Amino acid sequence: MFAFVFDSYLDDTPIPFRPPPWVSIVAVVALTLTLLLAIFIYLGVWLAVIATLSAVIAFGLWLKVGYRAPISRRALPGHVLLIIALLVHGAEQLAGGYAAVVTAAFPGLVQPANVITDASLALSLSLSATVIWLVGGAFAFYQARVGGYIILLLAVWGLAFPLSHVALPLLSGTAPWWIPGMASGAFAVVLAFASLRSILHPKIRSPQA
Amino acid sequence: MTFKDISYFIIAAIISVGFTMHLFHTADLLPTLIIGFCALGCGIVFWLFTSFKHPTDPALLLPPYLITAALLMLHIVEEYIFDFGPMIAGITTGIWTAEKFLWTIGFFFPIIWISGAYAIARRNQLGGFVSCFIFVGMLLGEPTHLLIFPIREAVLHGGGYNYFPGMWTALAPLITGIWGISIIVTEARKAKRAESVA
Repeated sequence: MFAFVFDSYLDDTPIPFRPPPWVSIVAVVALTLTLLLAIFIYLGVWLAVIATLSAVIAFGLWLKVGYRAPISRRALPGHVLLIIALLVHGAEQLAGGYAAVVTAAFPGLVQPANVITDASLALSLSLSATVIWLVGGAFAFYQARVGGYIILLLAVWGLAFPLSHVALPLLSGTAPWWIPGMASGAFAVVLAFASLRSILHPKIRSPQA
Repeated sequence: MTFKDISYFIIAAIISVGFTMHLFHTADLLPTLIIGFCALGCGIVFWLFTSFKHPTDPALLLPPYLITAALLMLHIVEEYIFDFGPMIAGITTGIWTAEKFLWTIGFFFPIIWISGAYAIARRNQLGGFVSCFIFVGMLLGEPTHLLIFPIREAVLHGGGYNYFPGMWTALAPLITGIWGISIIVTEARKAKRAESVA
């Protein structure tokens, strides 16, 4: 009697999942904006500035090399090595007390003073970020454009974050010259630079090239 | 067995024994049995019988491995937020604090298994070992978050069957782990069949 309620124009013809390419731009902007705001709220201005700078550069590079054609799977080994390098970097920061150094360096910027702790840094920049980097790697394997953006973001972040350790004593008069994370950061910078260089190379950049 | 095979087996055995001993000295018998025996022990046996001689095609193995690794890391995030380390110490005689858990399971352990993704991409035999250890570990180890830890907590401290840290994300990496195991078994069978025909 009420069968008409379930009637529709839908059938079971196979339909491939093919959203228009511009959806990936919307996804990248929405996800990045959310992440940047979370970094600002939970980790403070200093890390939010570095993350925003990295995201803007990565977005520009992605529009140039990874949007029209997906980034090749050949970029994946470098991506995985960089994830490991940043985990080691996070471990060095945790051991050396990076959070305390940043809080002491910018007492006016990082308010309240406990906004960054060693535990919150480890949870966000090492554990949670690794989830995003690994998911990005899986997306990039299937040549989803968002995966290409995450690969570029990791490469730029792998350069910018360790390099910010060098900028810290220059920008703050109170920061020590040796910042926890500098030793393993040097290795991450070299790896990120090599990874970025290989991604921007035409053969790695796109499977069609 | 070639010299290379033996070398890779020795490296895998050293990682397994070293990590299991570290777990036993810090986290007590229960996590040692789950990670050391289930994941590493059974993983190494599974590896020897499947992808040890014929590493699985990275194009097939890498997707489930990367997704499993991501889901496992998400699981570790849940465990860390809700104090898995001290909670485990409460149901064993282990000395795991939140900090000790972070160092062992948050940093050291992921460095090993994310290196596995690199080894898989390069079709290195150690990639086979790490993938077997992770996939078998997800199959045998993760259900304990629902079937053993909360029950032991209830038996020791009362209060009935309740949430135990890591519970909500425990079975997610098991799904992709089983996907990975099926690929390793299917590909090993194909390789053995091809070898016997040749």
